[in-house]
Amino acid sequence: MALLQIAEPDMAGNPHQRNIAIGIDLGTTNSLVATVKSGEASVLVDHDGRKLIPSIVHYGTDETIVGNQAISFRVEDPANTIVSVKRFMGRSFSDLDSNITYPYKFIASGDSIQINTRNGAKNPVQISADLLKYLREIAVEAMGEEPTGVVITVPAYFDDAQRHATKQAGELAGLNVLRLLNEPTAAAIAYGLDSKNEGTFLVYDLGGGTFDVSILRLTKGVFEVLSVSGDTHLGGDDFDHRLFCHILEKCALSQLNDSDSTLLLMKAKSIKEQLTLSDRASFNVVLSCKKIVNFSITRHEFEEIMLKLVQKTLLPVKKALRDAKLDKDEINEIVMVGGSTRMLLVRQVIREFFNKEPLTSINPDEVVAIGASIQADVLVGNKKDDDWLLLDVTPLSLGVETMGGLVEKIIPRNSTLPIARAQDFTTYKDGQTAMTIHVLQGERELVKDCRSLAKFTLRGIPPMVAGQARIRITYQIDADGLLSVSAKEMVTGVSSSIEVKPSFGLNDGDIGKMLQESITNAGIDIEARLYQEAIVDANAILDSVEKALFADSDLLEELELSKINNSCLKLKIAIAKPVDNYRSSSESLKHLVEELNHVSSDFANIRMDRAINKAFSGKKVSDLE
Amino acid sequence: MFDEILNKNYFQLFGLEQNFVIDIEQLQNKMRELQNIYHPDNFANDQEYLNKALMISSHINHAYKSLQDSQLRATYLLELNGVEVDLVYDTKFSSEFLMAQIEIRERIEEAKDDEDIDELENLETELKKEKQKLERDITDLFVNEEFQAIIELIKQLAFYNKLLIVVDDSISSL
Amino acid sequence: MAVSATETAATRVKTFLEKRGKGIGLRLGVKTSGCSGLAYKIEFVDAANEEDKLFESNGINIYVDAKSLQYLDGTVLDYTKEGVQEGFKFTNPNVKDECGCGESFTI
Repeated sequence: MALLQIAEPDMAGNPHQRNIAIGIDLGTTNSLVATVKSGEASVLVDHDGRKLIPSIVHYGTDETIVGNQAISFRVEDPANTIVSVKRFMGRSFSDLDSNITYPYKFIASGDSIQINTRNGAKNPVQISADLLKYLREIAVEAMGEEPTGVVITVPAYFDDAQRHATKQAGELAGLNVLRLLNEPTAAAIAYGLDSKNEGTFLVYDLGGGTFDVSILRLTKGVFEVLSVSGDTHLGGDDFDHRLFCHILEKCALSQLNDSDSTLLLMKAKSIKEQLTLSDRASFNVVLSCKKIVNFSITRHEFEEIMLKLVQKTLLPVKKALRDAKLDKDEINEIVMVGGSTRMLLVRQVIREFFNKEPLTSINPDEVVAIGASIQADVLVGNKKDDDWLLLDVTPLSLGVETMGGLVEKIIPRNSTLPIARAQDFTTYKDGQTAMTIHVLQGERELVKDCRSLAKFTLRGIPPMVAGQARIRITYQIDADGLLSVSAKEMVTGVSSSIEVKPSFGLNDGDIGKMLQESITNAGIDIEARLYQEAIVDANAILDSVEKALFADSDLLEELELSKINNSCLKLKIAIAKPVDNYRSSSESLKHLVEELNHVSSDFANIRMDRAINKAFSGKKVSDLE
Repeated sequence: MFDEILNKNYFQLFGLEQNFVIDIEQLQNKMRELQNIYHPDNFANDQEYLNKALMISSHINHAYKSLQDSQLRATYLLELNGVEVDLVYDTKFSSEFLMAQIEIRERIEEAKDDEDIDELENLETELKKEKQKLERDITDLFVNEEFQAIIELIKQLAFYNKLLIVVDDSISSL
Repeated sequence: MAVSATETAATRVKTFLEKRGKGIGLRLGVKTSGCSGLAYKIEFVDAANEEDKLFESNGINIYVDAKSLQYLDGTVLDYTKEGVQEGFKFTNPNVKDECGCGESFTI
């Protein structure tokens, strides 16, 4: 039977209709789910009593395994076990760090990332949705009912595409996403409500890989975010790596193989953690080459090595203070978030900078989920008197492309949300009926340095003399930081309104389709996989034919050349074409690949002859490719 | 109740007198009060009003920003008096003003190259003082309703605001 | 006529009240809804109503309105842990039939 919780006065709901609000911290490494029970926010536990749920999804032959149970598959079956999917959210292939090798089979599919798993192609939204479904199950089991509404947290620095992807993952998991909440803001809520203090808070969020700073003011029940800043490439991993380099130097190690590097990196991490409790830490390990490594370090030595890195975090802190137009002694409380703030040196540097003791009473791993659950509780309407309002800001400027590849800012960063700005455009040719608008996000001046959110063509402008039409484009960013764009012709009143979603996410239609697909059989997945394979094959042959043409097109008659070009073009169009039916699309791709093979087979023979001739004329075979 | 908000001018919206000098604290308090009523989070479970609330709440934020910033406030106040300010096309400045601008830009560049934070901070203080002087002059001109003269000062204010951003970015980048 | 709370329940209530920072006690009541007739409710109390009866049990104040008391007489409030769930549970001698989830009942 469902156990009962205490409600606020006059707020007890009917049975089976209680408003259950949950907050989810969807993290890169770990995720947490929290709720407010009898007025107290707490993190929910899984079957094994664990609060931290590893953000790992394993796609097995029959089932999808998430969390702690999926850990062991990282080693056993890395290709089907996705870790840290958050890094891929709202990202395209070109965004992937080429220095990192992933154990996954990526599939080229337009611009978005897809991973080929045993269960078919999965995009980051689907993988995150599987993670969220698991968190939902934990909540249902702990509360005995489906949650009414959910707040999911995102890093303050997430751009529009990443936010859209996160919200879609929530919807795909069957959750009613009331709000996306910035992680530092969530942490401030957790503390702000706890201390019941009005004042100015600085949130210092140092995680594994990223660093966020937010400044918020709480006045008369309104939580206002004044500024956000950060460094997307600074975190606990950097501390581990610095110590790792120190160990290599001290123990005169070089040219380690992968498994030894991983081993020492893990040891470095554990030394870092031990030094938060003790004054000295050490380890002994035997490397694969049988070499024994003895390493010992005092906290003092450790802190000397780390000082520069920790001080680097003060730059975004100062930037946030400047943006908020505040002096450091105007900060009333400093909130510490993220596992890396357990490092005593971090606390000490912050204490010395602000001349004030930072707040650490709430577990830094849990504080974000706790804050999210408190906000969710307010949004579902469980609070009456202690209600408060949250006014967040947009972390990145929004702009449009203008002449010469420049970006004109429309909504500056740190603008309070929600916000809408309108901009009027006119036509530059007589009878012009269409115009293209390119929306970007970022602080830089050149289009190529900013993130492209959407590029769309506005059609159906009534034909008029150049300069007479007036098209008003409205950019709306809602409270979640999500953008929509609409357009309207002002002179004639012809309202050709449009809604734009960023190119990396999925549109609502896609979501509906995917929801449907997850319910129906897996047959479609197999067809989808065959289609993806056909795409890969098609791209491969296109690539080789184009390389050959580039090198030896002089060998071809004009008619032959145009036949090949024509066939290439048809295949390219087929690749780019949106898919209605995987099977028929795969068929037509295969057909076109065969055709291209056929028309280029003579060309391949001629090239071979040329290569052989070259070889006979004294060149090495290895030079021919 | 929604349309009423959209029809008010920004000063009326925040219960302020239509004046260049305003009570910033009152502006903030009234903004919070209004957002407490109209922010879309209050309508999270109410699809019918959600879009309307989004529009109103955006309007309140924009109105707030327009009054909070002195350059925008002066421009808006001129607009209410039927005077348009066009910063993009109106680029006439006295040569002394332009010379002074170039000189400041050169000082910023130099300080940036020398990584001289103290000099940049001095520049920031100087620019803020100039800005305050302009704001005082604008206040007086509004009293006398010398609108054309105000346009000139708003154009200058825009220059100082831009310079302040450049100095701020330079300090942050060091 | 009386209602009471076990020591475990009373301790939890005290902690919740303390964390909440205000409130004078707990209200137990019944509402006429749910899949089998009546349903329990538990709420914090900031101010008592005129028709409320006050019971003290293990150091906490329990308020019950006159109408609900007819159905709740002899009820003991407990706080338990079942699997991953934690929360309050009513043991009511008047109950003849409960719905599966125990949130609503008939007498």
